[in-house]
Amino acid sequence: MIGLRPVLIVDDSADDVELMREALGTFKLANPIDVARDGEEALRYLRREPPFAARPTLDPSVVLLDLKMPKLDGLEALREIRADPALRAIPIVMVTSSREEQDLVRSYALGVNAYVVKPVDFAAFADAVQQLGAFWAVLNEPPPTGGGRG
Amino acid sequence: MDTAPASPSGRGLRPPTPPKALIAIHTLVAGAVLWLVALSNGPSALIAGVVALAALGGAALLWRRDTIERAAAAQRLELLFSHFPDLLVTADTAGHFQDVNPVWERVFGFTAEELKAKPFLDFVHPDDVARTLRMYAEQQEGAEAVAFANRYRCKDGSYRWLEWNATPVAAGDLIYAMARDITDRRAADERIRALTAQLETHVASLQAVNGELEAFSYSVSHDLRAPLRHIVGFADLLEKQAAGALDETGLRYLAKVRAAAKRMGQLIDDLLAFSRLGRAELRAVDVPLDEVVRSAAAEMQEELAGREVELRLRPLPAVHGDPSLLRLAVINLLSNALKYTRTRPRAEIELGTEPGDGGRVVMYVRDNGVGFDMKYADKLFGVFQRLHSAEEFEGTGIGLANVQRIVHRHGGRVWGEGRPDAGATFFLSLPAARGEAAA
Repeated sequence: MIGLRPVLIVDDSADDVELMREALGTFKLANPIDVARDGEEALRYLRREPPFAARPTLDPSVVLLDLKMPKLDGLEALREIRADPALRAIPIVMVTSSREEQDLVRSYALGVNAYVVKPVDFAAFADAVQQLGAFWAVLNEPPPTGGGRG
Repeated sequence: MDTAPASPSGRGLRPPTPPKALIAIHTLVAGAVLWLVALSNGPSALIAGVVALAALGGAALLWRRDTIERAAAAQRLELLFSHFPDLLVTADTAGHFQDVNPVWERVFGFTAEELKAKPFLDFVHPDDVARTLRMYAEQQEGAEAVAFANRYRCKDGSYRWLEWNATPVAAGDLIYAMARDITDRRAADERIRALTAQLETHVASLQAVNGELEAFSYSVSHDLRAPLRHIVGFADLLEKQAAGALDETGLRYLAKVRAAAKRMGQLIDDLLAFSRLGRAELRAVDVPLDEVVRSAAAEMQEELAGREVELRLRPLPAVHGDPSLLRLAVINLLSNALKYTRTRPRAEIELGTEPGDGGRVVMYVRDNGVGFDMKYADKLFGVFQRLHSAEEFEGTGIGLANVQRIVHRHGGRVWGEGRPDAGATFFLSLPAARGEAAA
């Protein structure tokens, strides 16, 4: 079955997740939205480990990754994903409150595809999330699933 | 061999000057022989006699001069030995001092006789005896001692540090040594070491505090902003979905919630920018101030639009500072001047310099705006301190705090003068250019 690739939101804040869902919903994005609450859950999701063993075969079109999370934070998750031959090609966008230079530098050094600072203003925030959804889930041609292997 | 390098020891290179005494002896012998010839009564007896007498006379003269010169040289050596400012000593292989110069008595309180009476190791600090013995043994093998330090006991029981330079001389099996009292120097060194250690501790604790501040501002950046975003976001969603259910008062409250959250967001951003100013690396070069001012003014076109502003730029010298930080300071000052002249039909802003002292340049920015009361002058540069309400003049109160932080980081000073309704002048003292080429 050929379906739409999901968008994976990795964020520990239920409020942020709801606002992002809302923004993407307003934009009428057809892609399913999946959520992981920290870096460890995100890796389980991507590697199809429990409780995500039954997730659809298609890898996400994009992972929207928060920086500061419990257990495995955004940078650590990014490092693991980029080090895993099966996952390293998945597009990853940092979506974070931090505009600290060190976070930008480290994210890009670890091979992030984009870095977006969450605006305080909701209209701007919604706009940013919608643009991300439009670009990565619709416009961007993702790597073929498993394309990172070998 | 002319080209042969000098032997390292230097010994044997000096050609032996025949001592006058030797010549005198030779002359004496020659004179005596000639006298014998004269006694032989031969034909040349008379001439030989005269020459012999002359030779004997010369020999006597030479002998006497030699004795005088030797005595003078010995006296010079004696004077040198007794007046030399450092400690001089000769020691024999049995471990006794042979000669000590008078400095010893001045430094240690022992007479020369007392010092020579016992093996010198008796005077060495017990903790230094082993090292001293080792060094002494090495010297007897022919090694030179260079900057060897040990402690000697004074008559009063205290110890003084000596630094030794010694050369073994083969002849006579004596060691010739010179020592210097370095007790004060060592104490000073010790003090410097202690102060350095203290300073390092301070630096370490400052670094720790700095690290904590950085963690704090990071947390402010991330953790404080997130709930703020949620407040604004859900207020927006509430307005969108439940606007019909809210009356006018309800909508006004909602607008207030959003405005307050937005203002808090601005405060957080300003605080972060302020904290970054303190952490940013200072890249100081010689930079012409008028270049800085021109580039700052160019950035203010938006704020200048629709205003009648007379901007008077006096000739400005070069200073030594970080161009981008200085530009930021000037932007803050110009933007302030523009803001507080807004109620004037025509804004007059003047930028110039006054003579400063001690290699400093004092730059001023003067405006004809609403001014301020000097009794609040100490509040001008505080973070989030304001002398006007947000309704009168917008802003968070970070601008002059930024200016002050930038000027302080340049080792300068900033102050303001003003009168209510009669304009304000802000002064910054900055290091003058050092005369290097600007980067």
